[in-house]
Amino acid sequence: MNTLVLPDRRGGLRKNLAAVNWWLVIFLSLLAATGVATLYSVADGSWTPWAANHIMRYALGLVILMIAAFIPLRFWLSLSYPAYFFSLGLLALVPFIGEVNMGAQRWIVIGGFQLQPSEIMKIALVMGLARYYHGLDFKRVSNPFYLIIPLAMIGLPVGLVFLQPDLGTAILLGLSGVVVILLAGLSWRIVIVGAILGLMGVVTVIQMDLIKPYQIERITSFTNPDADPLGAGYHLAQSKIAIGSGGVTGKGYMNGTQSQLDFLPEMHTDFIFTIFGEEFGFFGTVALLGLYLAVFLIGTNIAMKAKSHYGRLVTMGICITFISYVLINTGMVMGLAPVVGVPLPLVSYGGTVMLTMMAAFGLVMSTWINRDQDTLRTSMSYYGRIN
Amino acid sequence: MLAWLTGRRSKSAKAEIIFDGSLPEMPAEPCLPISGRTTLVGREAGRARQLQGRIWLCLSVFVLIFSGLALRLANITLVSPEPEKVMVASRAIAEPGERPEITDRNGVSLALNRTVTGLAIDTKMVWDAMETAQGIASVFPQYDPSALARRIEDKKYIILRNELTAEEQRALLTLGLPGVTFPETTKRVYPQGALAAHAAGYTIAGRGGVAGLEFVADEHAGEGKLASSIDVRAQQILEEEIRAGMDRFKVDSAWGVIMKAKTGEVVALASMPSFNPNEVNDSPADHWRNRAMQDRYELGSAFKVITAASVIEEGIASPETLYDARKPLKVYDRTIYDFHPRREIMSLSKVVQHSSNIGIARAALDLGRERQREYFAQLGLTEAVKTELPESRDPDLPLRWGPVETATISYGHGIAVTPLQLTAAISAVINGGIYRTPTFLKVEDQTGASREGRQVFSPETSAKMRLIMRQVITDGSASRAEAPGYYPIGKTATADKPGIGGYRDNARLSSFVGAFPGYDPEYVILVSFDEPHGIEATYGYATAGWVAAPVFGNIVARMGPVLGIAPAHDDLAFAQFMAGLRSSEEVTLALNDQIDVSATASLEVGEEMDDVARLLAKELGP
Repeated sequence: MNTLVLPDRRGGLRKNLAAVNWWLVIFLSLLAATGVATLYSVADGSWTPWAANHIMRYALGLVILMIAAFIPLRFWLSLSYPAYFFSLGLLALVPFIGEVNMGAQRWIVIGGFQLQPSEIMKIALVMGLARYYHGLDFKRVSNPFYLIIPLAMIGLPVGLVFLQPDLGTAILLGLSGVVVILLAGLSWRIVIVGAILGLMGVVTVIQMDLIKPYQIERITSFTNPDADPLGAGYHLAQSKIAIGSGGVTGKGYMNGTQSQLDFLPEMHTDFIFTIFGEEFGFFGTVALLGLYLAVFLIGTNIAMKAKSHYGRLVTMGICITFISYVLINTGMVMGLAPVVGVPLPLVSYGGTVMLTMMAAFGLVMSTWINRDQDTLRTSMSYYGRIN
Repeated sequence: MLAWLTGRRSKSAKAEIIFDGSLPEMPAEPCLPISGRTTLVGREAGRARQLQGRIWLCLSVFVLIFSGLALRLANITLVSPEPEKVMVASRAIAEPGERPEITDRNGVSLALNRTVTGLAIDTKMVWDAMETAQGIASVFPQYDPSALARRIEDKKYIILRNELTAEEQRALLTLGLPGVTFPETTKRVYPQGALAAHAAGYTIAGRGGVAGLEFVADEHAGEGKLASSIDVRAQQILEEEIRAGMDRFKVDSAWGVIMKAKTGEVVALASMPSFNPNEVNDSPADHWRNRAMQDRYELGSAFKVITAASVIEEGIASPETLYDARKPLKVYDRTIYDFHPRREIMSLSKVVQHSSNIGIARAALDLGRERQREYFAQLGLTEAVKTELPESRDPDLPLRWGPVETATISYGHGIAVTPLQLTAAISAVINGGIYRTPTFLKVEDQTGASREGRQVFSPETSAKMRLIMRQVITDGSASRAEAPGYYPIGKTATADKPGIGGYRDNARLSSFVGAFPGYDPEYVILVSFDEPHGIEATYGYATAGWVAAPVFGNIVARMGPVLGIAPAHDDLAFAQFMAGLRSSEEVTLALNDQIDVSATASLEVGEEMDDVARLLAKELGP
């Protein structure tokens, strides 16, 4: 027998590097560079406290991406369920050992590192669902009975995150999970029935006061942000003013007044798009959105080229999560979505999101590198039979 | 129903017959697919095709949403100056000339109207556009004559300048240009400059007063004068001392409030960095924000005073009740530590003096969630403070008010309120127990009786709290807050600032909230420094005892003489401290506590016992 027959084991670093989808790396780097430039401007032309850290985190993220990319997809597949249950366990632990920060418990500290299990769950959920559908017989996808497990897989973490309470992440998790199920080939009829049931559920939730008052306040602030410019709608009104003040071409780099003047809180995190918009105007923001769309398109291209069901679903799930971040964040600062505290991935300052997102793209990259393997789960017996 | 839902059943069944068998079919040459592409076969191909379709759909949906975002961006950046439109006030605003003068409590002007002469061109009256333009340009070289001439020819009324100096006006008059007019307008002037800027507020043309007392002034159009509760003397002292503290500890932002304990009048309010209301736009918008009223903070240990007062009022504890602070306290999943652990069993009084989180958390757990919440509500800490000013902010309350929260809130973490809100609450603790909503308008009756208030604590509880808070300064964490002769009382509050993912180790909010004279408080003072940095003189400490307490002490020492509060004699002051207590038994207990305390600290009550007892006998009667 010849070891050469194991395509996924051959190669070494050089072959792996050649197999990397450099377009993805380039566009991710462009996004991170945008983040660095904006953070530099937010700090009033200073590398501290954010810009330099952002570079380091991106560099670390890139290393993580490459490591994840060179690990065979088969390995990730076998890791999916453990990763999901591990994350679920961490999430369940949060109420007990989590750090309370202004009324919400989201973080746990492990060995000195602050960890936000809900962030890890975003990838783990996609992995778990992809693993489930990878193993599920195609004809059973639309069988309601086989829908119970994936719905539970989504519902448990969404519920736990919602109770933290972190509405933004709960929405993101639920959204990406449902889209993965859709992509897996759920019958449209079930989708329609599900949508109706979901709508009824939302109505019940609202009627039974399950949503916290401040969450309602945020949603109402979204529907009428100008009603109370100094209260809940304040961020929104200010951020719209700031973006609007950018005009077509923007005020120029480092020249944003609204945001340079500390008008906005959290401008280096959730509201960073505002500063960018003010300084680079319509063209700049559309270009930034274009960059995000490019990453999404590269991702979908990878998903379409991948031969393994797991790889396709994981890639799409990650791309959806990624793009949902962007949509919710930019929608939020433009007054199209509620203020729920979702960062702009790779541009906003924030370690966990950066590292989890880069690790996630490592998985996408692994899918790309291993795109020609069609049946990961049976690969051993597959080759075994030949030998 | 099931069949309808799973409409694919028959199709799939067919597929299964065709591709019966658990393994997919082999590619032709499975051993050599290294550089080539494998081909999908069997069931795998079926679901791949469907997935590709769905991916396309997904892609289209997201591209569509992105186009929507781009459209919205275009709408925001290119089309509408929408925010300006929606910010227009719908309330009645005073005409510029009708806007009343705003004064401090002693009649010193904070804002007044001044008539200024502007420069405008009534273009219909102009004979020679070029000559007019050149004439104006000779006085104001910044105008380009030909460009100005073109504007004049457009036949519109042009307002060139809002304010002219007398020289400029004379120069223009001598030119004798027809059509050049000098309209008079009213300008709002703030004679105190940046002093009391946040209390005074400012106006925006067309929107009236948008901040501070200027907002109130809109409701008093044509009334001549609006007497505010501000006292520029106290304001001056507050701002100077806060600035000095900011320089000393390299602080970027700080704030302070001085309130009249009996009436609830705000006599001074500072928010740093500040701005000059005469030139609002010269300062960054961040400086306009009234940090004492628009920002909410976790203010920390000052809440211990509220907790202590609540348990005393409920009869759960007295200042002598002992609490075990030897070990960190575990409340469900959380463990509560002391910042400066003393590891001893201490009285409630000492718990407050030495700021023991463990001790006060135990007291709060005895009090319970319901009663704690009720006291907080009574003290105006659960909803936004409604003063006359437009600035206010809802407090950030815990979403789940359970035992853990009860414990942490007892020492001011897990609840964020505005500094003014806390000042008003503390005022109720020490002024005899009456909560009065802060006001920015002058109150004539200085006993406070004319203002609505609610009795939250009994006068006895309040007297006990004054004693405890006096001991904070004499024996506790705030010896640097002492101002001889004024017997200040108070409480330090060093709060860790929340950051992403928990509290930050090196970022603090150092506050001191107190009052003077301690035996019969007239003024309640709160000062806070946001992220002070320890310096050599404080051995690197940036806690409230080192940062905010001395600033408070300086303010008291300077304010007392200026506002006519005479330093008191020791014995008299001490007797007054005791006078609020209900029975001689309580007095004795309090004195016993003092004696305990005197063994380790500066106030040597023991030696004064005889004098005190004599005075007390007089005060309390037989």
